[in-house]
Amino acid sequence: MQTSHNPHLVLELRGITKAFPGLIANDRVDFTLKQGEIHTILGENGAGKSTLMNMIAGLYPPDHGDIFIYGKKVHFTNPRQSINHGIGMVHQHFMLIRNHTVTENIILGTPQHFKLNFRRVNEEIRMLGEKYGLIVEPHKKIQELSVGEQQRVEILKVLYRGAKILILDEPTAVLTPQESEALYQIIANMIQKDHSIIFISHKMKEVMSLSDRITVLNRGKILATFIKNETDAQKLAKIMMGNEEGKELSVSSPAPNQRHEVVLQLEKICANDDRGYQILNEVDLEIRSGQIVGLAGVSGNGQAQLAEVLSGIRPMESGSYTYWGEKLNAPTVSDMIARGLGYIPEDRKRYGIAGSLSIAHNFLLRDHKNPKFYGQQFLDINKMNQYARVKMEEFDIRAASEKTQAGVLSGGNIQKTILARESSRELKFLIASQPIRGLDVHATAFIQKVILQAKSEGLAVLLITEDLDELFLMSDHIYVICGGKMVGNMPKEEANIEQIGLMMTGVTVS
Amino acid sequence: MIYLTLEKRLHFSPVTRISVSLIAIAVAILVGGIFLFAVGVNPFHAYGLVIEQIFMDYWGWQDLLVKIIPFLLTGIAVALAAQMKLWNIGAEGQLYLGAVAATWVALNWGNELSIWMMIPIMILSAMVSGACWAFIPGFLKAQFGVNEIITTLLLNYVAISWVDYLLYGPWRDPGSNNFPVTREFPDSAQLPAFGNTSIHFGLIIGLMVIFLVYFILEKTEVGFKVKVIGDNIYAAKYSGFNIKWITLAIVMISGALAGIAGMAEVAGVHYRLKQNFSINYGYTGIIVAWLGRNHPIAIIFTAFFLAVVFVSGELMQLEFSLPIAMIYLFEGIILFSVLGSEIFTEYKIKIKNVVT
Repeated sequence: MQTSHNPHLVLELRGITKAFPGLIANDRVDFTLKQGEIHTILGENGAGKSTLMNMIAGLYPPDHGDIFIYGKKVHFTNPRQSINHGIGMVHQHFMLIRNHTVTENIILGTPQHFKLNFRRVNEEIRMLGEKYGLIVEPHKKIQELSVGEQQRVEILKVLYRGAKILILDEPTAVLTPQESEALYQIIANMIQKDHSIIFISHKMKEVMSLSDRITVLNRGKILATFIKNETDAQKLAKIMMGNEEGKELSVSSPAPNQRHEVVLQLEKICANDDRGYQILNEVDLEIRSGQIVGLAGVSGNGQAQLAEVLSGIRPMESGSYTYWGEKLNAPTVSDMIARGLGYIPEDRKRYGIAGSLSIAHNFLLRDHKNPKFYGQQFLDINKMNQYARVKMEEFDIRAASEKTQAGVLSGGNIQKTILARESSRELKFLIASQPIRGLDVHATAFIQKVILQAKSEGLAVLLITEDLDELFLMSDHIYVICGGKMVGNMPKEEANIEQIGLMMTGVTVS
Repeated sequence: MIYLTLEKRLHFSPVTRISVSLIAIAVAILVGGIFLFAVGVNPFHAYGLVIEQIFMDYWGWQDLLVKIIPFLLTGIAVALAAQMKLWNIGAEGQLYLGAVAATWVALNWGNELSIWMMIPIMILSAMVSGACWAFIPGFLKAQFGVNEIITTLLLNYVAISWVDYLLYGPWRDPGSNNFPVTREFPDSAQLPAFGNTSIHFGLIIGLMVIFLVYFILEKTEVGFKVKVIGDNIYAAKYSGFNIKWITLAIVMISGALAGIAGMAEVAGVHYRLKQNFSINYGYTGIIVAWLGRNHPIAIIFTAFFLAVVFVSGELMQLEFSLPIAMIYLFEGIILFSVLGSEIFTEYKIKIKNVVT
């Protein structure tokens, strides 16, 4: 065992164990972070990464095991102690107050004079930002900032508190490719300025380019720690899956079906958001049978509303919506379900399931008139349960039983439930909105396989995604949306990732 | 250092729920005893009296089975709406309006129609009347999102004032020596009772309504929709349910059920409309529903329990000349301990010993 007085170690975890009821989140985890190092933790959802980080950040103490910082044993009972020891966590979901300014957010909870000197603090923040390349206007309100800028505020927040050890929890999950590049530069600056970083990510490419060392976590246990140069992406992926063969990992999109009839045609569709402001601006779109059309765009540029218009949830203000040759006029959700539209919503937990009802009951959503659930004329709980059991088997939905509340399932199992339900009707058109966001490798591969299989059988699919790897993997044709307008469309073969990334951020490409 | 922590339960079993409710009731009885002691009544003597004179007594049981009737109906009315996360605080007013409609039918048609016609018409008119009263908050909620807690609550005062107006004005019985009561209902407008008891037919109606609601919730498409809307309104939108219509319909049905409670009281107990014929039966329905966690079958038991509380309270009034406020106090304690115990259905307490 290494000595805890190794001067190069800024952080050491020894035998950290943390159990939650019914689950061992971390099992005797050993972990070290060297001075000036980027150490990546790789693992599927639920592998115990967040639990481990939360203990370092002082949100809760470990059941067993010790934490050493600069060789000194520490006990954190609250986050402030962790901050005082120079640890700063940048959460995946921003912890910012939207209608306060950058400065107000940064100094919140830090010791200040009774009379706040904003001019001085603004200056401090500007200097700090320049030092690391974290450029933001201190007096702007958070709601006026882009996602990338908000993340810079989060990083500034921990640096302002004097953090030397930074934990970045999936920092690029919400960023465009360009914003991610900028972040990589900032990370490099921080390393130069003697900070050490624990980096959490799913994206193999950036893991391989950024990390010094990589630790693979699986089911709460450390499987291996590698020096970057001694390993490669395939090997890591295999280990991450628990040494299984990576056979299910790779999917490839079969060629588009040749009988390509036009399934969906939109011309100049306009629609408003919930507050009544225009969010879709003359959108054109065409999807054919046996074709996956990928719609790329940064979240909040109208994709969500477009999906709602297509599925009948949101009314369109103007434009023409033609579906299988029929011009639709203010279709309702039930109309669209009857016409064979399946919809995997972006926010699966909020829209896709009724969390406190059983899995069996959740199979009735969007399908509640189906006679297969009924006896003579009333709901037959045995038939419902029976059906759910079959589907759970078929789609590998893991739960104690079909009577389990849907809300307690993991993200992957929820998504499989939704997919099982939507695809079990007579489908003609599927909208899949961010279908793999936040899912682990297994669930991702499974869901992509089902969608590709359906496509090869002639289904038309609209795939809405921010993940460019997924976009290129799945799509036959790519559209890009920005500011509620379609800013480009091209067959996949003619597209390249940089160009799409630029178009997503509103840069016009000739 | 030893400290207590709350841990989330992984499994929600009905046994846990029932035992937590029972413990909450036990706590309420204990705290109620302290209050009895504070007003100078020996709680052991008082509770002993309850057992002796209510549970071990023919008349006591008869009182219980009469008192349970309005609680069954107002309880299920509140619970049905609560299944959709709609809080019908207005069962009291709907109950009054149901009684008004039944009374109008009884006083105007009672001498011409037989009991076989009268009772169904009175029930129906009470339902329509309660439903119409609930239409106001239901419509405002469905169309404009107006908070139904406030509208239903405030309409209670309007409904009660209406009844006062009728009783002091056009409907007052000329032979009542200026008491604010109507004429007695003719025989054809009185709910029949079982044998020689005072337990009237409303008991059957109440139980039938409860089983009907249970069946609708569990076995029909609309019941499924109600449960989905109550759990997750976004999932309901995504599934294309007509949330406005269902909201309006459920609030109105809830009002109709409370209306039946009013009809049963005037036609089964008092045989006339009079002031304060409802001793907060509508509000008590909220406690009945809560205590039964809005489950129709559980409501039968919680309604019985509240009937015990009321009959015991009347006994205390007679024996120790305690005011009726004692009943309300007791109700308050129950509600308080039930709400307070809610957390234990989802969490359990763990004692932790952390070495620092």
